[in-house]
Amino acid sequence: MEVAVIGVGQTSFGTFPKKSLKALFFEAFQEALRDVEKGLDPKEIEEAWIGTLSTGGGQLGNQAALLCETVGLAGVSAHHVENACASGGFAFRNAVMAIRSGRCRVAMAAGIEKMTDLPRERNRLWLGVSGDVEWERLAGTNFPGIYAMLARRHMYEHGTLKEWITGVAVKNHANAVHNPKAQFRFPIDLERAMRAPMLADPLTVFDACGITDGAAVAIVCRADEARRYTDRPVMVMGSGAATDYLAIHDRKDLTGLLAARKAAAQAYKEAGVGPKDIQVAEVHDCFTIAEIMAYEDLGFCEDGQGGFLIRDGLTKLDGPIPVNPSGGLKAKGHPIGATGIGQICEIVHQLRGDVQEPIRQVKGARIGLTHNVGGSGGTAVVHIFRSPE
Amino acid sequence: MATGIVAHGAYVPKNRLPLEEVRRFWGGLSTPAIKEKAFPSYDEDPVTMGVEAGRQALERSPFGAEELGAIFFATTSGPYEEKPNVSTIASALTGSSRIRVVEMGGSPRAGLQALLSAWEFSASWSKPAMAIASDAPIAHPASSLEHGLGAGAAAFVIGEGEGATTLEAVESISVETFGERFRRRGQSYLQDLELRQDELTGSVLKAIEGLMEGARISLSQVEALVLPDPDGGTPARIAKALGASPEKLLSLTPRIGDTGAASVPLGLIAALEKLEAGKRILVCSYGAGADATSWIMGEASIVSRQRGRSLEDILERGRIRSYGDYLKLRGFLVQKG
Amino acid sequence: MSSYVSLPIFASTLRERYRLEEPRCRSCGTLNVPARMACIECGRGDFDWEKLTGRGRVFTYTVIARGGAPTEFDEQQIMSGSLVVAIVELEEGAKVVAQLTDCDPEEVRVGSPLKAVFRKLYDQEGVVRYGYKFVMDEERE
Ligand SMILES: [Zn+2]
Repeated sequence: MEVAVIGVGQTSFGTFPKKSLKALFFEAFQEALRDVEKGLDPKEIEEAWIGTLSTGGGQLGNQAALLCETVGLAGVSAHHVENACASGGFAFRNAVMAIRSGRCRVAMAAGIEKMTDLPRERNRLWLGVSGDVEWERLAGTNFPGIYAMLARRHMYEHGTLKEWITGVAVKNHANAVHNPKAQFRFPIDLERAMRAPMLADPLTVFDACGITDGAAVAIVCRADEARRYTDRPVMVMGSGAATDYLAIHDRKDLTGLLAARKAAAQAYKEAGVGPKDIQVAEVHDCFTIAEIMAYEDLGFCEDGQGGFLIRDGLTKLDGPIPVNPSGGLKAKGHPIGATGIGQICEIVHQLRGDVQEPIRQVKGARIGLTHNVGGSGGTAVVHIFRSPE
Repeated sequence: MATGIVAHGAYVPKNRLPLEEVRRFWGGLSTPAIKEKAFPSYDEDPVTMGVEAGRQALERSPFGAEELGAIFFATTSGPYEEKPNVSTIASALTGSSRIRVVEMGGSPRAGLQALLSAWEFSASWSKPAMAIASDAPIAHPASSLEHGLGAGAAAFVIGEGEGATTLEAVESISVETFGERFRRRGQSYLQDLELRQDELTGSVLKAIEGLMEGARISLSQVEALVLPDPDGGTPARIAKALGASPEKLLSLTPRIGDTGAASVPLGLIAALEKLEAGKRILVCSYGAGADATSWIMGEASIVSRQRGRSLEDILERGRIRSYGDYLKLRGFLVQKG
Repeated sequence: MSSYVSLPIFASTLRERYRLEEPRCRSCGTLNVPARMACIECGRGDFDWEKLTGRGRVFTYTVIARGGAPTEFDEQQIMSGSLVVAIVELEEGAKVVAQLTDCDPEEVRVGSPLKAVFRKLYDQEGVVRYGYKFVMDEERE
């Protein structure tokens, strides 16, 4: 059973301390409904998966049911998905599986996170709850430190230069300037970013994403019924997901994320395409080094050569393989649970050729990919999409 | 075979504060004879220092950690007033729970008391025991008492062994004292009323004279003298009163400050790392009275000191810190509660 | 409200944290650090515990700026400012994550020799948590 995306919607990603979880979700859901060209009666949605880490603890239990009732879906079968920063991508995968199983016709995959209403100290409590708690956290590190150690190892083993790593941020900020829904819509300068205060050496504050509010919704259905809802369904060609040891010291290789490699291999196999066929990608750049590793894990280049793609500008908007045209997590924003669905929103618009500001449109892109990672690679999920015929 | 010290180990934190920094900061210095002091880092305390000294002693010991029948631990500044600090040390040193643990405190005298108790345990039960003295006494940084306070740890394995450094004689004195170096329950900082009554010299002289008389030892038969040294100058004063040559004095206080209960035991280690076999060491500690002991240096201590890092090496590997670092690392700037 | 390691759970790892004793798989010989129920290499569950030397080398490391560490380390960061965390490749082969202490971050390199020491990790609920950290091993190159 093939699966089609018939509608996507997302709030702006940013700092909206006074917008509640419910308000954010309502906004994203309404946009997704409007995005279904020929209309959809919400009652047709049979299953819903909502990805969130529940930052802040506003509603820890039964959050999926609460958010569904908020948008008029009281009664629907709903599930909370938590796989750290990959919660959204996994929510989508569940929806895809449900359609493929034949058990339901229309399903919703969503993601949400509310992070900016907390005092700084309380927010810190919520960062770094998704790594290995017993050993990594108690050794004094959370994600900035973990990714910094991965970056250091990449630099050591492959001679990757810090300016290439930070170049990821420069590229993604440049893209976000053209994304009305991005959190940080300003360009940054490489030299200034390199001189910025250290967060976790060798990563500076410019190598890391920020704190973001946001929600995103994707509605999927059986491909054979998609034309009832839209003339421009985007097909899900492949879905792959995997996990890995949470603590990086348990992994053999610290220059890539094995879970992402496994997820990519599955997704490529299902889709019947390879890395060379991907024309646009949204990848998980929670830290700049993560995008360099993603290039390698997704097969966009040889192992160890991720930095060259930035050095040579190959992943810029006008390059042969544009990556993160939305601005990525770095500049579009990273509302944890919403991120994976936000990536899908971007790719769906790219493949339909209707991104909001055409300057950001990757021309003629027919096959796109999303890469969503949880924590430091404990979870990873990859999806491949095809533009409407 | 005689019961005695068969291995020793020392630990001194890497952090060093030149006391010139104290003079510059406060405009005066109460302990000018102390040049530098060692102080614990944010993640060190008498427990961690004691474990490290204990590990060095065990690495040099003919007995394994699992053979120890007891650990006697002395400190005046352990992190817990109730809940035995020594149990943490024991768990870090040995996987065996069949061990007697005893904790001593109350005054800087506790260090030598732990050593004596370990010796007495070992001699009574023919089992090896360990004595650890580890201390980082603390007073308010604005008080003159605080200037000279340092940190360090000394550990000894005591047992029956060929060439052990043996205990020859002991003389103990107890007196009631008022107003000098005390800390009430629940208080963090040491106090001293500075009453200008020298209880220390009297008790120490009395104990040493009693010891020499009882064991029929003359000063000429003593090769090294380890005396209580809260300020870097006290031993010389006592030696003068005794008529002993100042060359025989061994104290680490001028280099690492007053290490409380660890001070005299560290002085003993300085002797164990220096003397030849057969030489006599006179060791005396103070705290509302005094314990005077005499030891005969054995071959085992010479073997022990040749393994791993020497005391001198440990002392030399300090890292100079500013007074600002001192205040931060020592935790004076952490707001509790 | 956050991640939290309770005292009984912390206590269940004292053998590792206090004495660096770790299980070696009887079937395939792999050292499992930290300890696991099933061997990380072959999945079997019979182990012999051994005491490690505590010697290792820096595999990778980072210097975390003040305020960047988990909240358990807030008090430490008031005292120490930044903190150094490393993945340490042990002499016996396995890797562990730990803080480097008493070190000048400028001197740390991938490959620097290290040895384990016993230190305070953090202080929570009035109870001090102790465990291993690493220092530069001045006796090795
Ligand atoms: Zn095995």
